[in-house]
Amino acid sequence: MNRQIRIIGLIALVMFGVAFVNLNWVQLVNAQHLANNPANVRVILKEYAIARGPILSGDEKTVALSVKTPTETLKYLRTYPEGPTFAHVSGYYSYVYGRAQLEATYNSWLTGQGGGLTMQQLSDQLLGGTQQGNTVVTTINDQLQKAAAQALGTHKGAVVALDPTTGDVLAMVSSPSYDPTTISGHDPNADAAAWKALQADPGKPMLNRAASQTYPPGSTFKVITAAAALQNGLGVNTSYPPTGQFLPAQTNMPIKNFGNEVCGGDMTQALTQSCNVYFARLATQLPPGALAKTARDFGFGEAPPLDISDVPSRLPTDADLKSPAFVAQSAIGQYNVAATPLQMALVAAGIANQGKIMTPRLVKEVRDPQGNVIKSKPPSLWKTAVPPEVAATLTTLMEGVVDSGTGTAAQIPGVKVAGKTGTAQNATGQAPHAWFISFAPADAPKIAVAVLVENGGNLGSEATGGRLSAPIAQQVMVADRQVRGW
Amino acid sequence: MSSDTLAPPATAEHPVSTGLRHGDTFRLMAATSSAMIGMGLVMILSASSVEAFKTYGSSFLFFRKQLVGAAMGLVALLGLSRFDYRRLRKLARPLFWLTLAGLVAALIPGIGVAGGGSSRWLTFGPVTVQPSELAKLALILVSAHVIERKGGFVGDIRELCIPVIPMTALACLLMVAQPDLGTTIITVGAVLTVLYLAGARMRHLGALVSLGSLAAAGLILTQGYQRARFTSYLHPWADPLKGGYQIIQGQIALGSGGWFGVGLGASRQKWSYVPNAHTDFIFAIIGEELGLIGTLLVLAAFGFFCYLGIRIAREAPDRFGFLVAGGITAWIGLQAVINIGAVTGMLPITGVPLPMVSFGGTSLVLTMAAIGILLSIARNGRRG
Repeated sequence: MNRQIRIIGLIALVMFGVAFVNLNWVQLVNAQHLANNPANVRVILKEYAIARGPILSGDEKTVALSVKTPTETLKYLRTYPEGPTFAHVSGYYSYVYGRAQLEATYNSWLTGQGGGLTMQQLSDQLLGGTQQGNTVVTTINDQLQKAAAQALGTHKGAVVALDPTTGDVLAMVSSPSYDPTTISGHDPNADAAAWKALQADPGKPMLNRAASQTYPPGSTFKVITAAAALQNGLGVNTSYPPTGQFLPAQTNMPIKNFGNEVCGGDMTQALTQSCNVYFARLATQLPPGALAKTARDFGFGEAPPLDISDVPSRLPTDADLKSPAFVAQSAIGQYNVAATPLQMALVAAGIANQGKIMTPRLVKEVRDPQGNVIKSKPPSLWKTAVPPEVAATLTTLMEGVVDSGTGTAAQIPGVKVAGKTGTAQNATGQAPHAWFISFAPADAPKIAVAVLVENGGNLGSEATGGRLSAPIAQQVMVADRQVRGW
Repeated sequence: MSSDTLAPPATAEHPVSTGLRHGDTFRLMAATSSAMIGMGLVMILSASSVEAFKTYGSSFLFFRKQLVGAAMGLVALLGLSRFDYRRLRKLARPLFWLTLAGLVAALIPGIGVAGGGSSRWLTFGPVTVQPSELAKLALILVSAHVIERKGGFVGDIRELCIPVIPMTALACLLMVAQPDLGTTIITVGAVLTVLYLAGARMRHLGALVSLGSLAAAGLILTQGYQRARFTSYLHPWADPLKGGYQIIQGQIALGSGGWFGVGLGASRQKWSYVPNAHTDFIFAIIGEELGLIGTLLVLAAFGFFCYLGIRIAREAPDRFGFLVAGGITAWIGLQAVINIGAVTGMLPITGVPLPMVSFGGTSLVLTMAAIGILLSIARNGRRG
């Protein structure tokens, strides 16, 4: 009997011993990890006790701000007065789902921790005053952003407008959009319900189509094919007799023209008419790898340096370029080539800026609560895509597109506009994507615009970049002319 | 045998082999239990004040309820400590049938009261009782009684199986149906201890435990509720806002307590962050407010309680007393470890209260009644 009770005692001793060790572990060794854990409400509460700094547009409109709440626990509530208009740029600041876009990248500045504290912030922290965050000023022009959103309307797609000389992102619109306020509240259940509805929406409203989604660029890629030819000894006078189709070597799949038209001639005529067979044949005349190199020079293959998340655009692969059939398809922006609207806007901006692509700039500066600039980002060069004379030739070619080609819908009276349409085939049975890239004025560029409408918007398979997207780009450029006065 | 004072009979006032005086076991058990119940009351006041104010508009509501429970428990404790525990043998079977009836009633919709995804309660006017709490004591008493009648030895498998195992299985089945896996495990643990102390073979008990574990594993895998609890035990961080929430918030409370705690009443986690802060997770709030010092003291108190319980069993004058004391000690010790294990993330959450400390009237009254029985055994105990 004593043996049994001793064993029971021993079991008890072991159980309590294990509990003892584990308790020391949790309370002392693991304490730091627990204290800094994001699930630790105290970390969250501390952050919500800060008067998080606002996000402003380039023309000083408030895009995001924190307002005082009457509650003790979550002192500030994040709201987005512009609703869905800036959602993909500002991102959200959610109690449950964390942060995204500028709210995430500039979090430490917005909470007042980035870049060292000012004396005011330090004393607030020490004396227990309300900690005040810094202000983030974007380059987005509020009026232009709204004009772009309005021009895009209910189409699924994106508009990106850049200042070619500075790289400033003047507008970045993705549609459909969402209201970040709905998921940035203080009621976790309401936020979760809104979040789930957004996630379940087949229109993917939280996807930033402007920078985080690639599409086959279609004929807009012919600008890059032309740039590759011009740098490899095939000038604007390179002519091919007009044909209805072109059959590259080693294949029985011919390249056809849009609507089975017959076209050809020199490069000017070919680009004006967006002639598929011409550029397909032109690309097969290029040295191996030349097309990929030019695309890379324009930024394909790497994510442009941007303050919010973006993805790289896809180059024709080396394997693709070994087969004449795939070279021909790549030359007209099909097969494995894919680009974000941001990338195509950068292509237009690079040609507009004499071949030099400026780094896309989304945030102009950060100001402390007293209004002093504590961080600023001067314009910088990202890539030299083509030499100035090639850029000049491409500009002339693109002016022809708007003057008398597929892009006439982008004309602005009294202003020279350069552009290129694109109507990209994607999955069979689906309407093509409608593209337009452009800049204006062509002789002294102020703005470069890329427009993408997914699956032809409501024009269905009849959609072409020229009919659907060119007018949207035109409206954005006209709006910019009025807003910024050029 | 009857005495008018709480003190043990003068005949026991002789030194025992371990150096403790015989009467000391009685006194130390009484003191340890009182200290823990007192501490429990203080911690319930602290941990429940926010929840009570938010829900009922008075910070003292849970505290007052627990105070009533403690008063009733004290009556039970004092009464039973003076009552000759041997006479409980007559009560063992009726108590068992009463428990079964209560467990069945709790499952019947309309009679039983559900809460937190489980139907565990019965209501009588203003009083709500939890029959599964009674099951632990009833099964210990009935097992010890039946074994004693068999001559106090269950080395034979047939002796072992009839009738203790079916009785326990029946009660456990009803508790699993609620579901209340935690109380089931504790009940099984206590009965197994009684059987082991009565001389059951390790291999027999091993086979029973394997069978029971298999059944438990089957239960965990087939029932979404149990499986979710087990998954969040293994990976609390996989879903920190849902399944893993309680585990994580409990650990955050413990972790922020550090060595000395944030101070009594100063917990932040009790502000609606740790669910069940005053019941199953009161240990987390003790850790936050009183630090490692506080939690280790509680742990040490339970360890000491078990030590005293084992001493009482060893010194018990008869086999029934020996088995009952062993069973009660195993119950309270196991329940403490399972509760603390769940709060520290060592064991899955099964929703059992910390004995003597957690909020819960039925639990407190019955635990104090069990302590009364322990004291009665101690009072009649022979010298070691």
